[in-house]
Order: sequence, then C-alpha cells, then structure tokens
Amino acid sequence: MQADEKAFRELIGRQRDLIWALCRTYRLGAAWDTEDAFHEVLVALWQGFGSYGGRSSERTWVYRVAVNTLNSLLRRRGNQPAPEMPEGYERVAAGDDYPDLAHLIEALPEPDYTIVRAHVEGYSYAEIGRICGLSVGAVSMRLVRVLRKLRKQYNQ
Amino acid sequence: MSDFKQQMQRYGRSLGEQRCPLSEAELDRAVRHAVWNGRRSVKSEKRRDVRVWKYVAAACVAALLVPAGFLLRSAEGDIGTVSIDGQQVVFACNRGCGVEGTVDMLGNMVKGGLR
Repeated sequence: MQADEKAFRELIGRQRDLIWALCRTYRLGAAWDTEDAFHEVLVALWQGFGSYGGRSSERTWVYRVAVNTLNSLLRRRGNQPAPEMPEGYERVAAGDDYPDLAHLIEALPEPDYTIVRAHVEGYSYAEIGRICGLSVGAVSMRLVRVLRKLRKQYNQ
Repeated sequence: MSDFKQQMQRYGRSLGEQRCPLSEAELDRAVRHAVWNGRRSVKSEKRRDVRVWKYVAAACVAALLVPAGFLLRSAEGDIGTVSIDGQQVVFACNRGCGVEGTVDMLGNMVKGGLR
C-alpha cells in the first residue's frame, strides 16, 4: 500500500462514524442504500485527498465532501427532500416524540438544512461556514432566520 | 429550557448516535474499492481532456491562429498553451490536469497524452 493510500485509510478509520452517520441520516437516508452512499463518499474523499492539504480541520473537510456527494446523489436520482416523513425515520428516532420538528428540519432547502444539521451536531459557525462555503456572518444570519422560522412552525 | 430547544438537542443527539457497523476487513475492502474507482474515473476524465486539447490545437492550426505560447481557453473553460514546433503543434493544459501532447497538422496525435 502506498504512503498516501495508507494515510487515506487512517483518515477513513478516524472518520468512519461521521461518514456513516451522514450517509445514514442525511435527509434521513431515505433516498439511498447507506452502504452505496458510503462508498460514493469514500470515492469522492479519495479524489479530493491529494488536494486537501490540511487547510481546514479533517472533520470539517470530510463533512463538506460527504454533504456535497450526498447532495449530488440526491440530484442525480431526482429525489427531492421528502414531503412526508420517509420510511426509515423510525430507525433514526425510534420511540421519540418529536417527529414534527424532524419533519420540519428535513423539509428545509439547502444550505439551510445542512446549516441547521451541523449546528445541532455541535459545529461552530466557522466550521459550518467552511462546510457550506459561506462566511461566518452569513451562517449566523441564516441560522437565526431559519431557527426563528422553525420555532414558529413548531409552535403552531 | 424551552420545549423547542430540548427537541433540537434530541434531534442532534439522534444524528450523532450512528456508529459505522463495518468490520475492519469490510472497511479495508471499501477503501481499496474507493481508491481503485477513484483512479479509474480520474483517468477517464484525463482522456476526455486529451480529446479536447487535441481538437483545440488542430483547430488553431487550421485557422493559422497560433503564435508560440498562445494562450487558449477550451470549451470547458480550461486554460492551455499551444505552440508550433515545425509542422506539429505542441499543446499543454495549464490547469495541471496532466494533459500534454503533440498533434500533426491533421490533428492526429503524434505523441503525448497523460503525464
């Protein structure tokens, strides 16, 4: 195994749970087979690995590439964000009593969905900006606006 | 804490609770496949670039448009250099995609291709 392949394998080992979680739950993973999506993301990561160069944190870079790949998959397959809670939701939030909020979040357009998702996963504004290609100010502004809208819809 | 905030936090936790179920052997296999597939698609993209530049170069020769070092932009937006060497045209994509080569005045590839 060549040195860059070895480094790539190590990176995937460190980030496997993140990649899997995105493939499994991004748009609730309803549009694809998780293992197929996982493979597509690995290919995209490998293709970008040579030019990654550590400019952003590893986790942020992996997140961005995975989100871009999954959005491409959605476009390629002609799938739109599900208007109804898709089959598989129960796998993500079994037994929980908040389907309405998840439903509302899943229905958000891009990049709002990714911004909200990354926010609830604990990413900083700067990291979300790098993931979505937005400035920190733009992330902050969009997030405030989207959360306000979600809260209003949720409380109705 | 408001109900909305609590539900947001729970939603976030449910996303983060996913664990990759692949064994080390399965993960190794997936990485090997990704490396192999990734290389194959890059190669295919470069072949397309070779075709693009070959025809760009030939078209410039036909139109007598090519002073040495002339900069060109392909239909796909790549910048490249074309120069005349005797009866042949040398072309190279400056984007760093690895395409370079020489075509004769009829547009036939004499040498080159992928670096």
